[in-house]
This record gives sequence, C-alpha cells and structure tokens, in this order.
Amino acid sequence: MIRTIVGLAIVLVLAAILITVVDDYTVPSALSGVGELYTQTGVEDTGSVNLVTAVVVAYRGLDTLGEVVVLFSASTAVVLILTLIPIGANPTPPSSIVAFTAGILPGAIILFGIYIITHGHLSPGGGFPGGAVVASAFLLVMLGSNTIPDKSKFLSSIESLAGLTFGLLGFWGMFTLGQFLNNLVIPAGSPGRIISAGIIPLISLAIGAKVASELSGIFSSYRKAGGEE
Amino acid sequence: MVKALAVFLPLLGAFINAWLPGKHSKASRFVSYTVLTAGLAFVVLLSIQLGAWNLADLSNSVIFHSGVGSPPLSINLEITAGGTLAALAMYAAVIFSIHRFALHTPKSQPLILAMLTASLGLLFATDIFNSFVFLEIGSIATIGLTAASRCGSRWEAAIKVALVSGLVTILYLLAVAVLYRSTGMLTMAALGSLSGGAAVLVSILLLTVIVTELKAFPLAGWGLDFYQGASSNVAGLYSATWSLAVLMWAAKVLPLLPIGNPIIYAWIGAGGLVLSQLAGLRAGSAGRILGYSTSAYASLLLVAAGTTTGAFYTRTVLVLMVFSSLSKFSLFMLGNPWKNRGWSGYGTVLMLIPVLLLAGIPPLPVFWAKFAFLKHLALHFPVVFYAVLAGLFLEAVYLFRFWADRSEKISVKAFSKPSAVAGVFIILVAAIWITQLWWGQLDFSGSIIASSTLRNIFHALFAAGTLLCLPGVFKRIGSERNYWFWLLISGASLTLLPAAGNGITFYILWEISAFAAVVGVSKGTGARNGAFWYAVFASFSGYLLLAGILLSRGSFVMAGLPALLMTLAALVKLGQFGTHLWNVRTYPAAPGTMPAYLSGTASKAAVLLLVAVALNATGGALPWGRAMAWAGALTALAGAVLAALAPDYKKLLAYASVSQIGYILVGLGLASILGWTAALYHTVHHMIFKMALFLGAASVLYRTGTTRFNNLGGLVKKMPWTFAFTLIAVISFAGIPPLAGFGGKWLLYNGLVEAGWLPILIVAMFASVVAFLYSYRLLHGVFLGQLSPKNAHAKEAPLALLLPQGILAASIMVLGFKPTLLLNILVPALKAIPGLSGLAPVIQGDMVLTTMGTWNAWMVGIMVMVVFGIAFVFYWISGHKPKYVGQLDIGFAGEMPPSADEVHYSNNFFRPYTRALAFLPRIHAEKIFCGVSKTFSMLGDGVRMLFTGDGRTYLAHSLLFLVLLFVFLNGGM
Amino acid sequence: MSAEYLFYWSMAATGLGLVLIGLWGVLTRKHILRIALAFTLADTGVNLILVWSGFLPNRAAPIIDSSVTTVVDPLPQALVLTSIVIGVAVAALFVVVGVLASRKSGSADIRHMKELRW
Repeated sequence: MIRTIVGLAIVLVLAAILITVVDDYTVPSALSGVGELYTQTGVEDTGSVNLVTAVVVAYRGLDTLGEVVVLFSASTAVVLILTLIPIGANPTPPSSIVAFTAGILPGAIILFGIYIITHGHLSPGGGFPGGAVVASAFLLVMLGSNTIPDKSKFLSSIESLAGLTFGLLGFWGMFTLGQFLNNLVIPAGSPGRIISAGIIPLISLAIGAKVASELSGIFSSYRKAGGEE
Repeated sequence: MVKALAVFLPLLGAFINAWLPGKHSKASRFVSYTVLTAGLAFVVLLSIQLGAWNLADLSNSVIFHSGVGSPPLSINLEITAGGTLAALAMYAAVIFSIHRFALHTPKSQPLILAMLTASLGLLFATDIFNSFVFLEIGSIATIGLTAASRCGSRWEAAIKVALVSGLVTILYLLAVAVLYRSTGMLTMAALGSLSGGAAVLVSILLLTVIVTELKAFPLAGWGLDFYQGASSNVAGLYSATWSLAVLMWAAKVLPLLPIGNPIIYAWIGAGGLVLSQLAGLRAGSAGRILGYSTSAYASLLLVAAGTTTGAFYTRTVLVLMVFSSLSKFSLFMLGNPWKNRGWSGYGTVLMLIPVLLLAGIPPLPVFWAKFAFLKHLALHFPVVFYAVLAGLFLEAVYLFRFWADRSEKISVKAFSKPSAVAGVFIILVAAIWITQLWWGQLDFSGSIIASSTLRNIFHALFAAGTLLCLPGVFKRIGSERNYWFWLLISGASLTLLPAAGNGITFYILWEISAFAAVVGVSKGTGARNGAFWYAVFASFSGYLLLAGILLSRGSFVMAGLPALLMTLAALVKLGQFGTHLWNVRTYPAAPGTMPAYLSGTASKAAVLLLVAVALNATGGALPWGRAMAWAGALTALAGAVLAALAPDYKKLLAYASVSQIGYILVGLGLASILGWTAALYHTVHHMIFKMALFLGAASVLYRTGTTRFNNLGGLVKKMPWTFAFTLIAVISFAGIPPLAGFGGKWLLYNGLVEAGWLPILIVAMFASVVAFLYSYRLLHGVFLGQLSPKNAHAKEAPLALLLPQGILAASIMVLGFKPTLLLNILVPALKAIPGLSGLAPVIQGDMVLTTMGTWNAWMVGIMVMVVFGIAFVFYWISGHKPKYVGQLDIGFAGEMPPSADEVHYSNNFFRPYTRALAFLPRIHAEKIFCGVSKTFSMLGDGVRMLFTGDGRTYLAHSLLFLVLLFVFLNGGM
Repeated sequence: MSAEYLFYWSMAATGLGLVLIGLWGVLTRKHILRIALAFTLADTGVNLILVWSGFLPNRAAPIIDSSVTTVVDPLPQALVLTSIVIGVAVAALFVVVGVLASRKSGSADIRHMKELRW
C-alpha cells in the first residue's frame, strides 16, 4: 500500500518535472542540427538513399557494431545460463494449425526477410528488421515441431562469422581510409541501385545473419529450457 | 592508427571464441591470449606514444575515426593518455584472471572479452549515445557472468543488476532524446550548449544515471548486493574492468554536465562518503565490505569532480581509480580466503598490500594522489575536507578489520593464485613508478627540528633501539613468523624521521614506520586482533597528523587548530590514557622483540612529533601545555594502577609503558628548560629500560612459552642474567637513586615546583609510588617466589636476547652514575630554544644545580654502592641459608586443593588493594570505546536500513534522488 | 495547424505516459515477470519519445529520391533501431534470470529475493 502511494507520488512528480521542462518546446518546422546535415549530404556521402540506413550503417556504424555486440552478449549469456540448469522435458506438441502453418510459411518469411536485408539502403529495412523477420521463421519452425532441433553449433558458427565479417569490413575502412567502418572502401555506385552505397549491403547482410542467428539461438535456448521440470 | 585496434581486438577474439567448437579448448585459449597480448602491446605502445608515463599531460590523445565524415555526423573515440593507463590495467586484469573462469564456466570467454571491449569503448567514448551502447554491453556482460557463476546468490545479484540497468536505460534514453531535441547533436561536447529547462533535465537525468552506475551513496544498494552475491572471480574481473571504465567515463562526463555550480558533486560525494562508510563499518561479508569501499571511491570521484579541474583533476582521478580498482581485483582474486582453512604468512602480506593501498598509506600509489587532493581540499574547501577525512578514516577502520578477520583464514595456496600475486606485483611496481614521479616533493634537510643536537639524539635513539631488537629476531616461539624485515623497514624509516624537512616527508616516514610495524605485529601468534587495533589507532593518528599538516598551508605546522590536531596525533600514538587500548592489546600480541621495539623505540616518534610541533608552532610553549601535563600525570597514575593489577608480564609492561610516557608529557607540557630536560632525559631513559624489560619478557617467553604470572615465578635460579638485567631496569624506573631513573624524576619535580604546578606534582609523585607496586609485582611474579614445575627445564636466555639486555643494563648504570654525559649535550641545546621559560640547570663537573637544589649522581652512586656492599658482605659472612619451598607445599586443612594456577602466589596479587579501592568508580577506557563504537554502529545500522535488499527500493532511491536533484537545482537557480 | 499540433504533442504525451506507467509498474509490481513487462512498456515509451525528438509534422520518411525532398530527421530513427534491439536483448536476459531466480527462491515475488541486503 505504502509502496503504491510512494510509487504513484514519484511517478506524478516525475511527470510534472518532465512537463515543466519541455514546456518551452514548440512544434518545429525545419530540421536542425545534424539531421539537416544528413539530409543535405547523406546520399552524396554514403551512396545510400535510405538515410536511416546511412546513419545506422555508415555514419554511426560504431553504434551498430556495439548494438550487435549487445545482442551477441545477451545471446551468449542466455545460452550460457541455460546450459547450466537442467533441461526441461519435451515441450507440449503443437496444434495442427500451427504445425500446418509452420510447414508452409517459413520459406516465404525467410525470403521476405532476405529482401528486407538486402534492400536496406534503398527502402525501409536493413539488417536488424530483416534479421528479426528471418528469426521469426525459425521460431515458427520450432513451434511447429515436436522435438527440439539442436542447431546451436550451426547458429553459433553463423553468428561468429557474421560478427567477424562486420568487424573485418570495419577494419578495411580503417586501413584504407583511416576511418573505421567507412562504407566507401569500394565505389559508391549510383544511388538507388541495388549494388550501390559501398559496402552497406554487405554489412547489412552480416548484421542480418547475425541478428537472425542470435535471436534464433535465444529462442532455441528458451525452448530447450522451457519444459516442465 | 593501427594501435587503436587495441579497442576492438578483444571483440574479434570474442567472435572467434564463440565460433570455436569446444569452448575453452586449447584453441580458444590461444585465441584469447593472442588478442589480449596483442591488445596489451598496442596499449603500451599508445601509452608511450602519448607520453602517459610521467602523468604530466594526460589529455594528449589519438583520435579513432569511425563511420563517414566527422563528428557530430559520425562517432570518434578519443584515446587519451590517461585512458591508455586505465586500459592497461583492464587488459592486465583480464589476462591474469581469464584462466580462472575455465574451472566453473568454461564458455564464458566471449562474455569476458565483450566486457573488456565495452570497458575500453566506454573509456574512450566521446558520444553520448555511443556511451549508452557500451553501457548496455557492460551491464549485459555483467548480468550474464554473474548469473553463470557458481555461487549461491548469483540469481539475486544478477536480478538486481538487471533491474538497475533497466532503469538506467530509460533515464539515459530520456536524456538522449532531450539532448538531441534541444541541440541537434549527440556528442559529449553538445552537453555544454544546453540551456534552460533542458539543461536542468539532462543534468539531473545523467547525474542520476552516473551516481547509480558508480554505486555512490545513496544509490549504492544494488552494487553492494552485487559484490556480495557475485562470485569472487566475477566481482574481481568486474571491478578491474567494467567498474573502472564506468568511473573513468563518469570522470569525463561530470565536468561537461550543464549543472551550474559543480560544487554540488562535492556535497553529494562528501556526504555520501561519510554516511556510506558509517554503514560500511557494519558490513559483514567480504564482498560487501569491498562494495562499500567501491562506494567510497565513487564518492571521492564526485568530490574531485566538484572541487578540482584540468590536469590536476584528470591525474588525481586516474591514479585513485586505477589503483583502487586493481587492489580490489587482487583482493577478490585471492579467492574466497574466508572459506578456506589454514593460511600462509605470505597470504597475510599479499592481502595487506591492497588493503593498505585502499586506505591510502604511503608509499603506495593512491597515497600520492590522495595527499595532493586533500591538500587542495584543505586549502579551498575546508568543510568538504573534514568530511572526506572522516570518511576515509572510517573506511580504513573496516578495511583493517576485514584484513584482520580474513587474512587469518587465507588460502594456504595463496602463492599459487597468480592473478592475485600479479595484481599485488603491479601495485608494487606502480608504487615505485609513482613514487619516483613525486619524489621531488620530499625534503630530508631536517629543517623541522632546527636544533641538530636534538635531531642527533633522536637519530641515535631510533637507530640504537632498532639495532638492539635485531639480534633476537630469530628467537621466536610456536607459530610466530619472520618479522625482521618489517622491523627493519619500520626502524629505518624511524631513523630517518628526524631528518624530515617538510610535512609530507615527515608524514610518509611516520606512516611507513607505523604500518611496517603493523605487519610485523601481525606475525605473532593470534596477533591479528592486536595488529588491527594498532592499525586503527595508527591510521587515526595518521589522519590527525595529515589534517594538521595539510591545514598548515605549506609550512610544517601552524599555531592553532593544526598544532592541536598534531598534538592529538602524538597523544594517540603515545597511548595517552583513553587511547592506551592499542598499546595494551598490541604489545602483548606482538612477536619476539617486536614489543621492545614498539614500546621502547617506536613510541618515541610521537615525542619527536610533540617536540617538532612545539618548536615550529610556538617556539616551545604550547598553549595547552598545562592540560597536556594534567593528562600526562593522570595517565601516569592510571597506567600504574592498571599495571599493578595486570595478570600478565607483557600486559603489565604495556601498562607501565603507558604510565611512564605520562611523565614525558608532563615534562613537555611544562614548557620550561627544566621540564624539557626532564622529558627528553626520560625519553632516552625510558627507551633504555623499557627495551631491557621487554627483551627480558621476550627471553622469558622464549624459554617458558608463557607470560602469565600464574605460570611463572622462581626463574631467578634458571635465568640469573635475565633477572639481573631486569632488576637493574626495575630499580632504575622505580626512581631509586643510584640508577638513571632518579635523575629524570628529580628534574621533573624540580620543574613542577619551579612552575608552581603542585597538584600535578602530587599526582605524579603518587603515580611513582604505585610504580613501586607493579615493579615489585613484576620481579616477584616472574623471577622470585616458587618455581612452577612447568618451568623446571627453563634455561638462561640465548645470547642474542641477553646481549642487548646487557648493553641496555650497562647504559642504565652509566647514565645513572654519569647523567651529565647526556645532560651536557641536552641542556645547551634546550637553552638555545627561545620559547622555553625558566632557568636552565647548571652543570659543574658531576654536579647538577637548579634553583631548588643540587644533585651529584656520581657521589650518590658511590655512596649507595658502598652501603650495599657493606650489607652484602654482612649477609655473606653471616652464612644464612634460606629454606626453599615448592609451589604446592601448602596445607589445605582437609579442603580440596584448587588448581596450581589458583594457589600461585602471584594470582590476584593485589587483591587487598583492589578491595580497599572498590568504592571508587571504575573507569574503563574500554567501556568508553564500546560506547563510541556502539554509537557508530547504530548510526551505521541506521544508514544501512536504506539498502533493504528489495530491488524495487533501489529503483525508488534513484528516482527520488532525481526528484531531489531537480528540487535542489531549481531552488538554487 | 491545430491538427499537427495535436498530433505532435500527443505523440510526446503517449511516450511520456508509457514511460510513467512503466516506471509505476516497476516500482509497485511484485511479480518478476510483470516487472519485466513494465520495463518493456517504459522502453517502448522512451523509444516513442526518441522518435518524437526528430519528428516534424507533414514530412516523409527519410528516403531520398527525386519526389521526396522534405523528410524527417533520420538520426532518431537510427537511434530507435538500436534502442529497440538493445531492449530486446535486455528483456531476453532479464526474463531468463528472472525465471531462474524465481525457481531458486521458490516464488516469483521479488520480495522473496532479499537474501542480499544491508
């Protein structure tokens, strides 16, 4: 009871603070700061027409590498923790609807995912969303099967290779242009084409593979540990 | 540029490791060590390139460009000179500890490497959002490693870290959103261009995040729980990598926050330091104690951020944080010493060095930074200075208790723990490195004690005392271990002490001698408790001294408060009644000849300090001289009474030592030439006879294995020489005319009469009477009476112990018959001191003349000898044969005889006196101290109640802190 | 004008509301998984606020081609992408640790996880 009141009080005071502080903001009508710079020079600098991807993969590639490491650490940690505890019994069998769907959909989903990954520099998407989509196909396969397929070796190989690829692509830029993760180590090509934007598509692929394998790894660990004790 | 790869090499290692099939196979270990070694090499090269090693300009940097374009469009890492040193520590810690995870969690290598990457990234980050990414990697790696370790509370510890990092994520991203919305940039430099409400909001959000992540009080709860619950491997690795990275990152961000007046950091830090260290006093588990220490260092960082700027700030923070992290690493890497049985002598020292480092004892690296930092605080922020000193003292107390409690049970295989050894080794090498950087501050011109005569007397006293203790160092009993090295270090720095030419030199020598002696004491059997008390009082007196020196603004001591603080430091060190607890606990516990050194020689350092303070502050007469004299007289009396009642040889001597030192205080308090002559004469004399007595006690202990009066007695037949030397010492300190002690008392009483301080005279004289009681007790209890059957095989003491006693006894005789030898040197030197009042005693040949009378020691001596000689001849020719009675030769009239110990003549020797005085209120210094420590405990418990263990409470703390900050900042603006 | 004004501010208000509800849940819920949910909720709110920080009414997504010239700020969208992934990672780990911690203590009530304290 006291906790509820204190919690409510804290939250309300926080609300008040945030509201008073943002009081002097107005609805902006033009871009400012780096946003403006990105829109002006982004396509020229990186060759990617999707500026979000340009920011994610090229300008702030370091963040993205870090983000990949976050996911990598989390999946490693989850696998590590779950291997330490006794594995549960077989999961409950899927209903026939799930089993049927799981038989036909994954292919399409994976295709869609790959499309998103490879067109990251052209249209909304990129490695992360695409990878997540691919992972969802894997999840569906898992939900639709009675047994737990042990693909952890395969997944971790993909994961590592993708991570290494990302890192080495970064070093490429460092050695040739003095700038880690610079995407223009190869010519930018003409913006808007599928082969353009330097190595952005390659990095997107690496990210996509990594995200897909890591999320799948987490799902499969969950699945393995999730049965009744 | 290639060297900058050091930041990302561990990451590649992590990716490769995750791929290798049999994780922690040889191949994966090879990969780990390869990337780590290469990274380490790059970091070393970078540090040399940036000129980090002379700590002069730590802001030199190499920029690591990433992405396309330049900031604010892209992200740079700035590899600073200071950062490379921190990175070096991180790499070293990982290299030395990664093998330890092989045993329990072989697959954790990728996580460890990821944690290292995150730490390095955070260390060099220049972008707010980039820092966030690294922060998240660090939290995730921490949670993962904690949860995957094999100790009982890992889940709970991991959950708490996860809860807090969840909240931090939210607050941090809010700050990012506001920052970007207001400035359109995400670089750290953009923080400076914030204004108005946004500035306040970003400041309070980031400050809350920083204080939470730093584990500074009051947001330390989760950190404490984490350190307590995580396995020692994880906690050790964490403190040397991630924790260090967060500290350095915070040090970078704090000055950039648009918070207005940064003094608010200092207030948060100083207040938090005192409160958290109060709570730390009550912490039980080892991990939690180190957690409180972490919190202390986080608070210090806040204080530094609030009070210092520029290169000084960078250097102070770097040295403090890097070395505190490394020492915590070593302590954790000692494994779970509290769970192992058995222990080794090396383990004690191995554990003590990091503890000393955390407590900031010279010459370990942290000391230099702390000294410079505290000096700055003393000059500019006195209130913060007092709070910080108090907090640091409290920290020292519980760290020493931790050491005393734990090191006894430290692993036998301490030496087989290479990571701990490596950590300590790094600390020691760093100590040499940093000491040589700061060496120039030291001054050995001896200008603190202007009179070269006085200086030489003290030099000789310390050197002689140390040398006389050395022959006996190998005559140890039972489980006592080698202490000669520490005795030598302590003695050497004491011998240098009078040559100190400025405050820092004096302080360093003072602390080295004290803490080397602490280690020496700890080598005794079951002496950890004694060593702990010594350490606590030594650090208390050390901090008083430090405060005095630092408040004196460059000179050694200024009149007023600094002089008072330093006087108190000397009194504590002397064991002035009330603080005598440490003497009576430490001396009996110390091994072999160590007590002789402590009581005879080391305690004179405090006399030197008093002399130095009086000379430098006021030219001789301290304004509180009279109070000091009263304190001295009462100490003399109380010490004597307690000595008479002590049931143990060494304990009796310890109390006697307390009592005798009272006379020195009376003499110095007089501030007249006579008084000082008496005091310094007595100082020399006390050193001689007390060493003789304690060496005698060491001999008796060596031959009989005990110092309890119950088990002694009758040793005169077995150890005649020891008896003879002890007898000479006893006669001397009882003040019986022919020997040296008489002169000191005569001069002192003359001085008291001259000053007209008659009440003090009466008390001092009464104390001398009581001294007869304990001197008789001592002789009788040990050497006379009946021989206990247990000691039937006792032999005369070995030469190594006997020879120094002989030399000392001879000196007593010489000084007794020819006191003018010393007085001729002393009196002219004291006459030259302008601040001392009264007339000097006149010396004519063997005659000493004062206004009150004359004293011809040579004459008196010859006369007494003649009288004794005649009496002895009569006794001899009378042919009187005494009858010897065995100890148990007593009739019990049919009663059941009690145990031999109880019927021993020495048992409860002074019962009649005790009964007669029973109506007097018994003042026990112990009780006063119990009261004090209880008060502190209660306060500490009160503070500890904040940390309820409920993860949500910690989150509420953070949010409340945020709200309070807002209120404070808005109220202040 | 008023419509975009309303949209702009309701976006901020929704984000803020989600954050506050999330924080309230974190502070008051006892079940460990509910706390995890509350964190996710707050995370979502924060992400919304991040998007809002670079949002301009009546502008297109930042994909430049011949027909599009006025776009919203691409940076916050990139940040949100990162932040979402990080949120997923943290939540995944949190749930695992939470479930195992509650197995250990025999209940999912966070009040029963107070072995470490003071």
